[in-house]
Amino acid sequence: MKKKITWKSVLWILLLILIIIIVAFPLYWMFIGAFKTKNEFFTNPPVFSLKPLRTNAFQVALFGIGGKGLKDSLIIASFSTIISLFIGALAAHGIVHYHIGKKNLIFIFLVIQMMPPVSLAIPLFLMFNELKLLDTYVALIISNTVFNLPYAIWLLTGFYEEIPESILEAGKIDGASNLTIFTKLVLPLVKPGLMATGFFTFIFGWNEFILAFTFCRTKVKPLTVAIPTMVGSDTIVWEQVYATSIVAIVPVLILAIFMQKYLIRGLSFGAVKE
Amino acid sequence: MLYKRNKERTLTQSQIDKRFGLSLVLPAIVIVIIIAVFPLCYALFLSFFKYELATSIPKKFVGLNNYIRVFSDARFWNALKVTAIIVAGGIILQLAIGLIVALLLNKEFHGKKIVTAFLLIPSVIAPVVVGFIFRMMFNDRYGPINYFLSLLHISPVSWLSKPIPSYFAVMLANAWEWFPFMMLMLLAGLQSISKDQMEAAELDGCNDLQKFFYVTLPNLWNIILTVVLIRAIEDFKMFDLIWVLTAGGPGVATETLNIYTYKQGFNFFSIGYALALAVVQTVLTFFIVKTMYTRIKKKN
Repeated sequence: MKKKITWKSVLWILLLILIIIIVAFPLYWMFIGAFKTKNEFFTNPPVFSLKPLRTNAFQVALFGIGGKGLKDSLIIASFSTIISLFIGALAAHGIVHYHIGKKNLIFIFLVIQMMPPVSLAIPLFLMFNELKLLDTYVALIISNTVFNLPYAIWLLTGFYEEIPESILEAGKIDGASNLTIFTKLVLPLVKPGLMATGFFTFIFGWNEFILAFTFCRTKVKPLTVAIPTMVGSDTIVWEQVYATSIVAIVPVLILAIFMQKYLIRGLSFGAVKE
Repeated sequence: MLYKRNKERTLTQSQIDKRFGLSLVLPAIVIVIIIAVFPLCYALFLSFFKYELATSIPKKFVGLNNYIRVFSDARFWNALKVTAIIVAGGIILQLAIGLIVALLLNKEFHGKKIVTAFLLIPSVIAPVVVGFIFRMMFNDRYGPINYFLSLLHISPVSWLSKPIPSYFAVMLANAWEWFPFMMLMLLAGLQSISKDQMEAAELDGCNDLQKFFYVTLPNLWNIILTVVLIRAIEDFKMFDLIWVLTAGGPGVATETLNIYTYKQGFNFFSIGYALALAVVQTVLTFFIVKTMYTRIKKKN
């Protein structure tokens, strides 16, 4: 069967290609940038081709500042995720299935999640300063949890609400204790929700900048803070910036591939459920 | 007798349930109070003080002075204006591109899954990275964007060193990161429009444009409101991208409330004043969210 080629379908294809190029080009620009030499950034016309694979910049990105950043980002994002997920999984169960503070509590959590981070960064800075916690993992794990925990609870309540009440009722009639119902019935059913939520809190922690930028000095430097340190007062080591950017992006992309099904739900704060 | 015992038992059972539920929620409440509510109260408290971190002068209670200063501060009003422009302009841009692409993708074709997955990449990248990608791309002399414009015989634009273009630089970079999210939300909405409605419109002799305005758009309205609300809140919070791309410059051209508050706090060390700014900003966010939230609820 031959399809008729109409001007409409040609226009459609062209527009689609244009959109793909618009999304792809900045990524391509970053990718080739990681292999350029300093001078190749400052030519007109710009260098658009991939140069022979120079890996100098990746030395820094993987083993120098970037390597340290990778480790710090991983520690901060992981611990904040574990705390948010653990506490969030309990709280969401209480809110949804035991109707504890359903309206007020959820609204308070939502408001905290929506707060501009600057308004929390300043008082937290003063507190961490008093407690001698600046430039430590603890400060960053705590401050990321401020935003991740409300988010986790908010997203998880959506998943918990999808569990049919009848299953819980059946468990109760069979004489299961509250704890057994939670661990044996509820948790297995919300496992996908827990994974999706954990994925998002991890990404938020991984991509977070302003809190890390405020509380970090020298000892702790996650990737998002490490990259701007490659910007000197008058020069920017662009190839290192881009190589480290790639290192910062790849883990998130790998996770996103596995969690693709939940991307929209997570990014929309559970507003769209498919 | 039996009845009474039963009643007692159910009563205690529900009490046990209540207690169990409370103990589940309690850790979250305690943590949120310690790490969020307490710091916020502390911030509110300190916003009534003159507190300069750079000097050794002890903090001094000044009442509402910081707040009076906020409203007579030209730089605050500028920041408010910049924030409004960047949030509103940015959302219009994201929505327009998102809607066009959603309409493009709203049919079956080979590789649709891969294309949509690919288009979502920008939305999971750290805004700091996006900022650095676009900072070089927007370079006046060596950036690829001006190079492409020169191919179209458009004279170079000083993207990051002139006020008006720098607005666009911020909005475009942000739109690049977030239009895919809008697109996917809208696509989900488009796919839930029933075929019957479309066919009925066709039978009535509607052309494509009429179908779009009389069938598609009304059906999408709720999703549009939701995505706009989500993006408005998130763009209002935006800091990383602007900090990396322009740092609020040139001058104060792209200095949003976030950036200005941050500078007052950590560049000028006027903690009391910065906190007053933060409080004003938080109250503002709260009201914007509340009005938009109730409006969406009403529509539903």
